[in-house]
Amino acid sequence: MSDNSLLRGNLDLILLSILEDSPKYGLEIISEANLRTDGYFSFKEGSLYPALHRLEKAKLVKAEFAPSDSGGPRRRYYYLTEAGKKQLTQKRAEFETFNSKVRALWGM
Amino acid sequence: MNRDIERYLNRATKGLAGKKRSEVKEELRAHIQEKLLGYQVAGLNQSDAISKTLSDLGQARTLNHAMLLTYRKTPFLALSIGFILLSFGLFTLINRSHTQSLAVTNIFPSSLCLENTPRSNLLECHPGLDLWVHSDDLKRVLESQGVTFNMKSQTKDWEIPFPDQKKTLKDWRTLNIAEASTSEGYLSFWSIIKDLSFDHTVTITDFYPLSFDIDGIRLELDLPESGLDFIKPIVGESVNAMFSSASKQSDLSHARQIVDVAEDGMYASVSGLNFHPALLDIAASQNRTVSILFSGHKSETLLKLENAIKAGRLDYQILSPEQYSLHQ
Repeated sequence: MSDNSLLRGNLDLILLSILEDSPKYGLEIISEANLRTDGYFSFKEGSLYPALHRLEKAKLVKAEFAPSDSGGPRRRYYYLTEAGKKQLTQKRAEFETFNSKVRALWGM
Repeated sequence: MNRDIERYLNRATKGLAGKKRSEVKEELRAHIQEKLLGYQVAGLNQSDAISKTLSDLGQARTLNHAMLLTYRKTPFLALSIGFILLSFGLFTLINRSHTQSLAVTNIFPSSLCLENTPRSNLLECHPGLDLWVHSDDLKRVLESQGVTFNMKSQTKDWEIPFPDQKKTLKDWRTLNIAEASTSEGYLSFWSIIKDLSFDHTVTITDFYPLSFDIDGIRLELDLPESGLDFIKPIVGESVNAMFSSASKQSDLSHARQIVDVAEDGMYASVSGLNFHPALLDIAASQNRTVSILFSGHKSETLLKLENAIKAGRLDYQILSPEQYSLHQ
């Protein structure tokens, strides 16, 4: 499991990355984060939705209700906007720069 | 759906504007149902599955706080709690560019309240039930918006002539202003709002800070704590006033909107005269628990309420003033 402060600090980058490929709904995002990182990113479910709504308010993602493929109630699917895609590119670059500089500090 | 789940959803979405609240509720409800089903398929009974699902989501209060942080700048659902009387026309604001906040307290600001007088049993004696505003502050805020405010010290009548000079608070029909004021010069803010709503359009424009628009006059409250805790009495009073005067279905829809603001801890004060049982019907239809504070005063409306309770149509609790105070 990841350090919570690291997770919080990079939450936008993580969420935008997960949504990059295709629209997803809340539970799917949690499961995808778990799956892709072997459980390293383990979201607290209750904190996911405020984060998604914050991104939506910032117009980085959009959301729409759509029928569930399993026949259950409608789900709210999130997908990246153009601004969200730009933000993801920028945050990736920032993260990579930060990562390389820290590695340089370590002499790696 | 299960009552615990509905209670969770109400708490988690408390304070969000109407449409946004519905959206978030639907989204969380779908999440809960899917998780619930998963746990049940895995062998948990319904009760354990619900507990586990809600526990996974975390505390409703925490989720609510984070949601409100996201949407706090969004203008809150405007709730019309008055009736527009076109005869009063449109008021013109002389100066509304700068709004000063109005300091309020929820502690009855008079030692008289605690003395062994008829007032000692009144609801106003208990912290949290009403908001009190000092006349000097009200005068300052109103005058900053071009509204004249006078007090006749001899009679304790208060006059707030609005810009068109056609309406003054002295004309209140249901409130003896002298009874609502104290020797220290405080007025019951909820009484002001409730009574103005008969003849003016009173709108809750925001909860952060809790703000009212009274036909163009803005009152922004400087609350000692979160505005949400203080909205409960005004919700009860406003709905009561609305029902008492409702003659059309559209009036009732406004009341339903107001009820939607309050979560399951909605309070309705029962002073005997202005409680409408339909408030309970609406609350019950939304799976809300209504906590009712009453002063022990028997009245026809209170008897109606008791009948509704006996008929088993409501999930409710009746709190004495002491219990209410503890509950706060």
